[in-house]
Amino acid sequence: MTKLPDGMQTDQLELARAMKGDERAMRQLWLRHSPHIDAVVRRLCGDHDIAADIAQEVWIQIFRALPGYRGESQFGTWAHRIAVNRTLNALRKVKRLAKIETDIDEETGIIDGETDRTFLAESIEKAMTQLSPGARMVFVLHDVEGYTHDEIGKELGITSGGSKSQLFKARAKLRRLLAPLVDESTIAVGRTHAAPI
Amino acid sequence: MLPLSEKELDELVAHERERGVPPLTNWDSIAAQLRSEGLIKEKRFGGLGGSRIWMQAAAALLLVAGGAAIGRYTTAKPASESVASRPITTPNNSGQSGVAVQNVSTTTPATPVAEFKTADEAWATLNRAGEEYQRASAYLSASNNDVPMPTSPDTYRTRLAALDNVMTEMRSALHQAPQDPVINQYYMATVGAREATLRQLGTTLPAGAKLNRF
Repeated sequence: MTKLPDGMQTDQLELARAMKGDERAMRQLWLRHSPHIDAVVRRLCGDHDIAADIAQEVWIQIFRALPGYRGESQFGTWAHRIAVNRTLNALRKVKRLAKIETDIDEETGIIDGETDRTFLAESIEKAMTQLSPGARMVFVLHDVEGYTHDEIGKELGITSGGSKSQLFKARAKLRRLLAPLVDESTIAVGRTHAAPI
Repeated sequence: MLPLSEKELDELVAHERERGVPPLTNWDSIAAQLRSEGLIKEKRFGGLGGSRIWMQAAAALLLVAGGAAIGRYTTAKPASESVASRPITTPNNSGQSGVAVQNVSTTTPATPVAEFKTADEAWATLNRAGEEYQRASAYLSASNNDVPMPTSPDTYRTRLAALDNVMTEMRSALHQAPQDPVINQYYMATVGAREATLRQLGTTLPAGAKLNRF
């Protein structure tokens, strides 16, 4: 008999109880998984207040869908998928994605020089807020969450090539925006290489 | 200023991936909505499906076990005194009264040990015992002036502190084994005893005094 890791065994026990409506078990699932789920929502939204509203909806949706969870993937993976889908849907509703196709074709490739000069990125999270919604989502989904371009294309309703193009432009902008951050911390050892944009 | 290299950006992304962030949500607001949608069920004990009968049975045990504990404590007599020696007067052959000492049990006469054939029978007995305990307790509270009740609030406070410690341990045990019937029974018994003690404590406080803490 295969022995499950402790965390997975605990998850299974809690899941069984949570499916029956046991609040304590539900809370344990929330406690264990909310750091990751909330982080995904926050990164995709780029706005704390909107993210907070959507994260609440995400968790309600996770528990609504829980009776349909078949255990074919880990709970965290399953919940993560719900979080991404729900967040993208919610953002569409607030019209954050209304211009995503336009953004992908036109806006994100253009480096806003003025913004770059005045914006001092304190963190990559802050830098991501300087990306257009579409570019941020592609970047977050691909680089942070590990989605493939095909998956991103399906989620966002764009082509795989559009996703790749968007990622390239997003990364170029982030490398520029984040330069001061790394310069400060690595100047002592010196940077000898910078890839061409 | 040179832009970052691809590798440097990858390192920052990896750091971001691992970075902990404060939660966006709080459980209370989530739970409130889940409850309004009926996704959170009322707490069930034992997960037996028939939670109602289970609760009734546990409540009966609570009354018996908790009540016995309270009763013994409030009479301020050791359990060994439940069988008391008392003088009784009996007429003797000479027509004079004589005094003899006889052990008299203060409890009801022993009844045959019940044997149960089904769980339903056992539950019925348990529930009946609980109801009888309630009636007896109400009668004694109303009419038995012979039993000295503690008059000092400190006595009740000591008991409350002990009960709180027991509740803490039981609550912790429930987290580990929420369906354990023994733990559930003891927990409920403790809750009941605590509530009864709080009521009793209220009767010992000076008029106008409010019970805010103990």
